[in-house]
Amino acid sequence: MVRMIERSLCVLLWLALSWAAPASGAWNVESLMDALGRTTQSEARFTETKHLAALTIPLELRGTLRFQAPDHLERLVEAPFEERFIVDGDRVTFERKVTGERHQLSLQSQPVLWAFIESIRATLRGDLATLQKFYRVELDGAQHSWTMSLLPREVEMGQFVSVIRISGSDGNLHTIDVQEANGNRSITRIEASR
Amino acid sequence: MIFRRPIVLLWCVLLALAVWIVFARTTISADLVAFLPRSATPKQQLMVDQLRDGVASRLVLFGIEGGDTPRLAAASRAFAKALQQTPHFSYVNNGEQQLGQRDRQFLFEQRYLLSHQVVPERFSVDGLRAALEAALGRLASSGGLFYQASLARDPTGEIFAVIQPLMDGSGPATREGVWFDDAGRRALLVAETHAAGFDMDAQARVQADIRAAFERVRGEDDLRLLYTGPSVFAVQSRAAIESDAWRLSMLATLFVATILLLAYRSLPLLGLGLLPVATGVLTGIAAVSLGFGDVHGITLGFGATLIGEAVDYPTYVFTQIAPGETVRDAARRVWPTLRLAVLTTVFSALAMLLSSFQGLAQLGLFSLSGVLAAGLVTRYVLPQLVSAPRRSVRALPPLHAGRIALAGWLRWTVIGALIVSAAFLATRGPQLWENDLANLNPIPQAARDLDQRMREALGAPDVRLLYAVQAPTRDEALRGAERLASRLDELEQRGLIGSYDSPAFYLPSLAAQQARQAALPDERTLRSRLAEAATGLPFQSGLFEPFISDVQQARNAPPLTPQSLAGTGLELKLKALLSESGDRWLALLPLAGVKDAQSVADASAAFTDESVFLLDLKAESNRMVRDYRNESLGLWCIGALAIAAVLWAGLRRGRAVLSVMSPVVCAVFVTAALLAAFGARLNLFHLVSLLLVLGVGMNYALFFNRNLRDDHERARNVFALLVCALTTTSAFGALAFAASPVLQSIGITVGTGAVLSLLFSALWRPAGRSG
Repeated sequence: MVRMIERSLCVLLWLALSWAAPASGAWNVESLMDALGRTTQSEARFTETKHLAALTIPLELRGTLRFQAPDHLERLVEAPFEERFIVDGDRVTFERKVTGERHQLSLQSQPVLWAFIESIRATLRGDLATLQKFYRVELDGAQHSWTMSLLPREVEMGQFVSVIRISGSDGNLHTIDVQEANGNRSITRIEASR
Repeated sequence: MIFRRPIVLLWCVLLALAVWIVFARTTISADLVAFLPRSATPKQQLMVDQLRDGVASRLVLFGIEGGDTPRLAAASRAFAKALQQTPHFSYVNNGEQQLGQRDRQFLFEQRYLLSHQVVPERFSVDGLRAALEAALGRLASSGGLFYQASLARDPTGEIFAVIQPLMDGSGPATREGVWFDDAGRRALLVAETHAAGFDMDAQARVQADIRAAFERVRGEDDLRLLYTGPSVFAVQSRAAIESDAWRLSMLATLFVATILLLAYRSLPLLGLGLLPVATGVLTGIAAVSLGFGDVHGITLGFGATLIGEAVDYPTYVFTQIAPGETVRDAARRVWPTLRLAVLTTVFSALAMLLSSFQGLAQLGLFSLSGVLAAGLVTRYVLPQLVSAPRRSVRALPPLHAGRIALAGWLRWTVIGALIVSAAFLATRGPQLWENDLANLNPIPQAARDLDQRMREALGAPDVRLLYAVQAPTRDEALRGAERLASRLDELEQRGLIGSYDSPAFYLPSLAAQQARQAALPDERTLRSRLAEAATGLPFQSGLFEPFISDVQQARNAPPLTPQSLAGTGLELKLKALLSESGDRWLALLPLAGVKDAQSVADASAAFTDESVFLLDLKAESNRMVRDYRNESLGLWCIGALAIAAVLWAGLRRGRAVLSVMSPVVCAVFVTAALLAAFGARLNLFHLVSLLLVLGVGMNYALFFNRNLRDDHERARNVFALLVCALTTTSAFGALAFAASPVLQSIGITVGTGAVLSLLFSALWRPAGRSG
């Protein structure tokens, strides 16, 4: 009798545990973050195409994107000009070769820039809490082809950006599509990681 | 009854007058800067003005600690708001806004008048082409998102040229949108008071409101507020000095009274014995108050010094009363010696009175009037108040000369000590002297360390180095600043300076504004040049219409005046950097990020002159300290000569003068050597104290050298000297416990010097001999 109760308790426990864990194959924001967070270091070539209302043709930039978990992000533009945009923790360094400009600023002192940076950095880190601090996060598609939409929460950010759509497969990013409030649009395509 | 005697009545009236002046008319100041001279070289005058009420003197730096980051950030915001609601601050910044919305708007609207890039070439076809290409690059760049909005109005990026110099200098790290120190444990704020840093009463009110505001913000939490700044120091050190001065004067009085009570064995005599001191202190304060307008706390500290000297006067009289003698007889008998004692002190103080260092002059006047009053009261008032003590004053048994005769060779030990001390002082060289004004500050080291840490964390200007341009009119001062700017850009490129600020960034000279307006083309010209420049570039046609209209508006705009900046945060910056003093205008260009002040000074030698000069506040203040010390040394010598002259006039014998002066001069040298040996660097206050040693020590030497009639008188004389030495030592012993370094060094110096003077006088002139 006692043994039977023990056995059925074990079964119940097993059942309870399997309920708590996500059913294998179910794709949601948590499992996406989990997949993204597994990569702690990455480097990839990118091409950014900017469609601006002020210009008759789109602008195209090429360069390298580097990430080192948890909070180091580099965006190095190589063509048509050289530019380095480096975020390390709270410190942002921005250098333009052409003009010789060099700026350093605190990320947290620039709320809009901060929100913008975290759309990429927090995504690469798989940090849902930070993303949700700045955006409403929506996920479409399946594990092999997903699109995550980030809708700004703050009015200030909303004045610049309408939505950021990031798409990819598994833990890899393919495109970052920024839809600006003034109708401009910038699409960054990321080549397969090296 | 006694008030019918004219001299007593006169004394009472004068005393009442002094009391009225002291309690109704006297204000006490405490910051060291107020102690500095107002008449020096123009450079020093400027420095003193800057230290007194420049921007730096008005800054208050705050730190909030004792919570986690979000709690501290919230407290920082609430506290900043609370400070802004008080009427005290012209601006408060916690890192939320570097430039306010209004400031940004002003800068953007006036960009064509403010930007130094506005020259004719920039609006030529080639210039515009280059600007448009740059704009395209900026659009494509990572920061492009923020630039798009202003592209149509500002394709040449003039706003960047305007803002760049204002944003220079790296601020502290920001967390949760407000400033924090590197460790993230302290939220930082900075505020500038309306009131000048030296306005003690106003600053005391400001600080009371700061504490009240923080209490409201803190609520139930366990947060702590730290704040620092020159005005905070001034208020705190005033409180410290005042409490020191009163507390220690009370303590000294208590010691002295106890000793005197034991000696006199009479309460009325004790009371009378304190009358000359009390009169002296009140007269001294009243005289300084009348002569200088206010009394510095450090001068008050010397009140204790006066106790040490003046309390001896009645002692010399009371302890010398022979059996059956009246006080009047004793006073008359002792007077020739006592008169010399008073006069020597008066003349040494007279030398200080000549000093152009206001602090020393105050001390001189204080000692002079105080000692003189005490001496006169002892001689002329006391004998009127008491005829003879009911019980005889305590006395030593009669001393036979032979019994206490000291060996003659002891004199040589004194001379030996003098030679050793002089040699030791000579080997110290320049190390002997303290040159840093900051180290004279009556502020505890811990408070200065906190200030240093907060200043570094905030990157607040420590405005040590700045350029000053003097000119007859505001506009010429601005033009001078503009001419200087090109030189400073050069220094910036060479890496000698990190950045600089200039009033011309906020208000360009009329000439510069007109030149910029003249550089802007008219509408037709601009339109056609712009079309040519944009050929082949992918800008939409008609995109730059807002630019064309903005340029036309700027061309015909009235020039900017100080009133144009009214209501912006920039107005305050301009006021701090551009001011009128007397009939001159002064533009200040503070430097930041200077690693080596000397190389900046070397590099600027080529372009500085009478009206444009580099001001190194620290070097300048140190030079001033050195100048005044040298002057004081000179005055010290004059004081010593004056004393010798007074002695000569009184004693009429060269040998007597020598035997009075020598032991005291030896004591002064040995005291100085002892101070140096214990690691002190001698400063102005040590020098003043040594001058006082000369005065007090001279009294002992004089009484040691009196002609004495018999063994009884000899015994009374030795007793008088012992009592005086005890009272002096305890009075200055009390001062040595002061929290304020200045008062402490006075106490130690005079105390040591007084004891040594007594000892050396005794050794020099063995009591067995008679003069």
